[in-house]
Amino acid sequence: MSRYGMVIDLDKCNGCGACMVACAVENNVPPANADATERTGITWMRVFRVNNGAPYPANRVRFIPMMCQHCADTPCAHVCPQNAVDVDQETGIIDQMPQRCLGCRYCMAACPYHARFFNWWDPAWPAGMEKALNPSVAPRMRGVVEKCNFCHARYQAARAKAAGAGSRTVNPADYTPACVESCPTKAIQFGDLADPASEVAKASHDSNAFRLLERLGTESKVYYRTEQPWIRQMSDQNLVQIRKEARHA
Amino acid sequence: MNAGRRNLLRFVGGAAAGVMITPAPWKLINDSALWSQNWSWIPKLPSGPRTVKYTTCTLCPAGCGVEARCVGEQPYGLVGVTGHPLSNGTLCPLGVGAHHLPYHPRRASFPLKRGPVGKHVPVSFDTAIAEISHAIEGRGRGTTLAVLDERPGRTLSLVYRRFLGGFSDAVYLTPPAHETVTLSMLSRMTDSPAGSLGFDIASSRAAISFGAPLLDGWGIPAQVNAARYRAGSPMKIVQVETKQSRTASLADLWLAPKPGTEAAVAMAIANVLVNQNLVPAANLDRAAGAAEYRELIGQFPPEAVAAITGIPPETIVAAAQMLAVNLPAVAIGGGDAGGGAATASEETAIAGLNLLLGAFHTPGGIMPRQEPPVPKEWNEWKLAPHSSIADVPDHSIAVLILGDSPSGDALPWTLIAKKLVPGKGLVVSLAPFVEGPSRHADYILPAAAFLETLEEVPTPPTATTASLSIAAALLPVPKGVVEPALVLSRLSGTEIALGPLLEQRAAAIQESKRGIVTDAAGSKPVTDFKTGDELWKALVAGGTWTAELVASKPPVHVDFQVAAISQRVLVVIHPASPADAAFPLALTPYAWRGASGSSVLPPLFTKVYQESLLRGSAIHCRVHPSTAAEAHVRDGDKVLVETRCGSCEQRAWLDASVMPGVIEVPAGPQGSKGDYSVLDVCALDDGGTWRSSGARIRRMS
Repeated sequence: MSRYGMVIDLDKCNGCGACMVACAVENNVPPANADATERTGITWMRVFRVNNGAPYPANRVRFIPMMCQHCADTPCAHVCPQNAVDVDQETGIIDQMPQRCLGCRYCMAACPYHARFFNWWDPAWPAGMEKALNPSVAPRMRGVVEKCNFCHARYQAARAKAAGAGSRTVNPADYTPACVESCPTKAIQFGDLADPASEVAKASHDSNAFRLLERLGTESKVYYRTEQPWIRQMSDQNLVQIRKEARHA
Repeated sequence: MNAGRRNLLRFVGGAAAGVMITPAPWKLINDSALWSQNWSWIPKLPSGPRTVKYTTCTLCPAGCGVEARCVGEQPYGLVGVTGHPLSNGTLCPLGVGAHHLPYHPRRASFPLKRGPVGKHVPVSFDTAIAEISHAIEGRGRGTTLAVLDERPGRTLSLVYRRFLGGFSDAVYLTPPAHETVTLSMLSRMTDSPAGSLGFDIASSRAAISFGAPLLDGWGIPAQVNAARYRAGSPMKIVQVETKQSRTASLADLWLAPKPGTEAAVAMAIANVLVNQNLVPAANLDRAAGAAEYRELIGQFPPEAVAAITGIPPETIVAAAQMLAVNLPAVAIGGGDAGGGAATASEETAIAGLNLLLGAFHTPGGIMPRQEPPVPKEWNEWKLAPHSSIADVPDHSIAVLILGDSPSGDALPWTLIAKKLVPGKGLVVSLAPFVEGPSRHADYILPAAAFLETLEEVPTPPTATTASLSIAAALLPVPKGVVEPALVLSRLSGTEIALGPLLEQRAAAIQESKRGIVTDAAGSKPVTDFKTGDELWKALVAGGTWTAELVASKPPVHVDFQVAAISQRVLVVIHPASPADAAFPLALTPYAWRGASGSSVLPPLFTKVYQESLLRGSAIHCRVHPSTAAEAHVRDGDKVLVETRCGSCEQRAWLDASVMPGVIEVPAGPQGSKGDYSVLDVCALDDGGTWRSSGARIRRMS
């Protein structure tokens, strides 16, 4: 039994957005509809720009990459009337099954991390760009919810490769989500948290590591790390509220 | 059983209940869900064998290695190449989505001409060439033909100059330098025996940057990251910048001067370095003008500069001490991609810091670079003179050809337009997209986009070692696209082909026996290639040739012309004219490399600037809440930003990280609805820069 997770070093993240673009490329998330905004767009991986609220020039900006936190206690799965949230006991990965989703968006309301996105429009790419879609990931239809699944297609490919070699164990080198692969500063570590020898498991026990909204007890599998106390304090608050306060400070 | 009403109802009820425990209704729901997600307009996924190919990114000068994951011949994902000598696995967001660029809605895939109502309409290639030739032949006396090449240093750049060399009055233009302006200034101070200069940032222990986005796409990003996140001794960064950029927010020390006072900060740091004896006096002694420089920096004590810049004196002292205890250190100017180059006075002040820090010709500082060899016969080519577009007389260009590839840095159309003959200047663009300056072109003869043609990637301008790689063509070229060399051939009447020239260049490198070639399988010396053709094939397959670092001694004589510019530096502390009371705010445009509005971004970049608030687009202006309150502007209001040069509509974005009194506006990306650039309303100074303009803001009803 694996427990895949991440540790994101916020002191290395420069908010370049490579993870956001790589995620959309890998998972066939379409470009924005002309009317889409930051509230209606689809960004499985979203980097939030936050600041410490201090007056200029003591003000400091940092970046927090946010995706589905792959909670062990999954609020979204609890509320889904369609059983469209797949909790994979084998890997700990939380996936969404668009075929089952009826678009009620209860899961979006239940998710404390705002990590789920609704397809308000049909997926559409500029003419010709559909040829450049990832052949391993099906596009989703208007009216369903979608979210990060740790690039599950890559996991399946790694598992198939392992099976081809007669093994049931996925080689860590064969399974890396797109955001991890694309990060220019190597701020994101990924691996099996259940394997105490893995780098990610060790990093998750760093004294500066923490999880977002830990008080909710969701037991998420995405850890963050920073030496900035104000970011750690912020981690237990509501991100949308923080952003609003920071912009009006 | 009687066929009565009650029994009929029982049967129907029983059947309804019974069918619920069969798979039929659930299968029906599932099938209808699947059916409803497979409409004809939902794209069908490509299929075919999966392959991996290697190429090089050409979207900016950094020359990052790219691994293209393909289905059939079609790339569907790009990632960095681990072990690449320049990028070592790094690829910026621009590169990650670059395989979608050929399908961008603003792609020009056939020749276009500006129609009578100002819109571009299709035109045949032959007609366009005939009309452009006519304009070149009919240009008036005293006017010139020019090519503006935003990516100098390529073989195609030499081809442009050779083409222009066939005309008596033609000139080869490049935009004002951004990243290399510090190096250019230092190059002019001495005869560098090896040729060009580069920042040896990978070995630096500290860097002071004057607005350069060191951590947000500067130079060769992988080398900056390697130094910054070096285990044990990470490179310290002191960022001098009004805006809290990504580099400023992550720097070890951020000094936020008032706009236009950066040179004073440099002089104050120099003052501390000298007065506290933090650096050896010999560092400066070899420079002509050292005495004048010492005298000049004496006028910039931290206390006096604090009053000008708003930076506390103790912060200035801390910055100087941080640099002095972390040698080798280097000072970097140039500003960011959207704000234009630094002024000569600022760059001279920065050059002074480099001299004091002993960065000149020192590992970890600024090192000479030996350029790659070129075929001997190329030295006999008649080349047109080279000039910066800022130095060309106004109203002098009759026909301007815009090169095929943007630099990634901003270039205001106003700077180009004022060089054209009024009302008669003809502009021809060879760019593959109708964006940036190309939007103003009279003719667009589009070149192939990234991945569609074989392109050369020369040495990154800030590198300390020469390199050469080739971006292989992975996609077929659309039918209406024309190679720039073909356009030049038709206009000059002589046959010009780029491919054979590139092969000649590879052969010259092979003959020189210098350097190594690194590909996905590892690296091997050039001497392992028996012929130039072998080396050429290795480069086309994704290999990168890199030369060795040049061993050098510090130059004996450095011509540091302090006296000539000292008055310009002193203007900062003794302003000749009071601030413009009608435009009390400072408008400061900014951008990150590749997203400066001069070219398009991959379509999926909407994730970064439209579907999230990570990066602003050209429709947003950031202002401090206190500045907004004075103008009665609220968050999200539609506002008019006015300068002496014009006005533009923006959406106000209140941000406590912005300096009060400053309006920050991204020069790009333009977004799907944008059709203007904030650079159009920025004031250009004599040096062709536009970093800060007097402005005011008011809420629109």
